[in-house]
Amino acid sequence: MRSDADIKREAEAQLKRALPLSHALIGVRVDNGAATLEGAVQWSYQRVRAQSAVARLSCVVGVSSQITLSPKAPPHEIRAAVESAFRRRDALDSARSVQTPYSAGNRKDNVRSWAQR
Amino acid sequence: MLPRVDEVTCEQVAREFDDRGPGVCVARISGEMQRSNPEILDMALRCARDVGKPEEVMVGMCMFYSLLLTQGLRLPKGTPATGSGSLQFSLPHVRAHTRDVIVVQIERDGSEIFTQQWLSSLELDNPQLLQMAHLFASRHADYLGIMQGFVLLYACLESEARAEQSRLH
Repeated sequence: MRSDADIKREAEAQLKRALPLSHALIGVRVDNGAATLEGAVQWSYQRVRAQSAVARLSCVVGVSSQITLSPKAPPHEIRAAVESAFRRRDALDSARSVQTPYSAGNRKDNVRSWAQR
Repeated sequence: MLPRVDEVTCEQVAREFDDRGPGVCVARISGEMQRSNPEILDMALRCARDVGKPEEVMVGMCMFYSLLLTQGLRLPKGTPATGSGSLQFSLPHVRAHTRDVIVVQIERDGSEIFTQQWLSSLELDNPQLLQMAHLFASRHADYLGIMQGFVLLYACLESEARAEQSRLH
């Protein structure tokens, strides 16, 4: 009889083989040999493929899927996420310049350096 | 202008990455970039190196490029399968000059305004592409760095597309 921890490892490996791009979005719980899949994916095929991949494992007595389809982020949410990431970066830069007042100054402007040849 | 990516293309590209594996897809798309858009490849690699976990970040950069390429290659409804210009579709070849123009824009406006302006353009003209960028970046520690990488690639490709169009007229 395989332990639940072993079955979980095998199920995760099977998910990685079935969905090499999106397996990381899916988590596995195993209880007495029964697997439960959790997480949020973008497309239906990912949900279907995950469930059938784990169901193929002989050590698994049953699979229940609680995988949901992730909702689209509204544009204002994306804008807010970028805006708040800029503010976090500013705060980090200010903290750094207080800690090391004689350092080179502003953080390197990444996007500019990537664009430069 | 760049093709407007739709949901069908997004799913098609995600499936391709899940079917073939990200490593195979990154190798194929990087090769395509090397042949037809070396400036874009260079910028994507620099971004991937700077934000950390370069192999993972290149998956996103290649997906982003592949979405635009795949969308352009898909025949519009009703287009005959032969003799169509779209069969020869390729993304604009970003020139060194265009890259220089983008650097001037960033220096003039600052990277935050540059990023916000091109995000607005993505939101308006290519909302599915913006979704992909956001979802991918959300899974990484340096969300902003990755979003700026996507924005830079888009700004270069879209600017080149606009320049090509103005040269034609």
